Amino acid sequence: MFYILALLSGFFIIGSMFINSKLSIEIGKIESLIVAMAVGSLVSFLAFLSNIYITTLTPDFSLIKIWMLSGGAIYIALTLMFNKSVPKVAAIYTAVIVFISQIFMGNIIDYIMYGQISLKNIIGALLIATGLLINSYIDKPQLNLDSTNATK
Amino acid sequence: MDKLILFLAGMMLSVMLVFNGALSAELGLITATFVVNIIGFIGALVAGFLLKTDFKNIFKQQPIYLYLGGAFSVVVILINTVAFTKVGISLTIALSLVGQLIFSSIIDHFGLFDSKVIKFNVKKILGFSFMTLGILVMIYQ
Repeated sequence: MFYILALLSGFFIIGSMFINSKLSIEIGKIESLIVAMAVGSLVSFLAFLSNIYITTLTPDFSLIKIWMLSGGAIYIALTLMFNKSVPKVAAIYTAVIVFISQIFMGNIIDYIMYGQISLKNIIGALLIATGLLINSYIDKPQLNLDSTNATK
Repeated sequence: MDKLILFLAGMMLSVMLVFNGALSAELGLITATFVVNIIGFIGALVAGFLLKTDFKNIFKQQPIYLYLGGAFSVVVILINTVAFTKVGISLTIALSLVGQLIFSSIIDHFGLFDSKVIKFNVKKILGFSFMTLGILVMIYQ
């Protein structure tokens, strides 16, 4: 069940990427980020209100520690980093670099939290990166063809 | 240099999952998602001010579906946070990546979202097989 959910999150990531990139063409990169976060805040606020209404539990905000709030701020920082660097790095490498660095950090986190590094996670990640590279190279002639056509 | 920035951004993505997971453990998933979004919204406004953005564009009327991106992000945060606490960080990242690739292929093949039609190349099944094998190795440990 959670495997399928995690897979589905990939669908929503691509969906929001397509929509946000269209919006950024219309109104600008930072502007579209502000709009997306405003909509996100509104939707999650509605979910928050209905949650309180249904469960009648009020969350205890005093439990929050400052470092836990970094998630939202990190999101903005890395979106700006992606905006800057994705157009300058070949698409073939973008997905591979981001995936490898995520897994790399994921293993460090697993080590800090659970005191061990999973060899199977590393082997699995290497297999996925291999598949990613293979498909990128299969796509390459098509992408090159497209760019040649675009310049004509 | 840009490759290094991408590498750093990928690492920060993983760290973000942990912070959001910790917040969710204290406040519950839905409240945590709300807090993450509010902080993100404030962060985006600050970035806008620092980069001297013209805020007028924000209020330009757009077709409704262009506003859905932010709503989709909420769903992603919800799913990732719950999946991270249940199946671990590496598998969440890997499954989400494969989901992205499958959906990108569907978008390309059918030309969804007004994109150009790029028919699915059967050879790519080879790459997808490697990825599936990788996921299976990670799941069955």
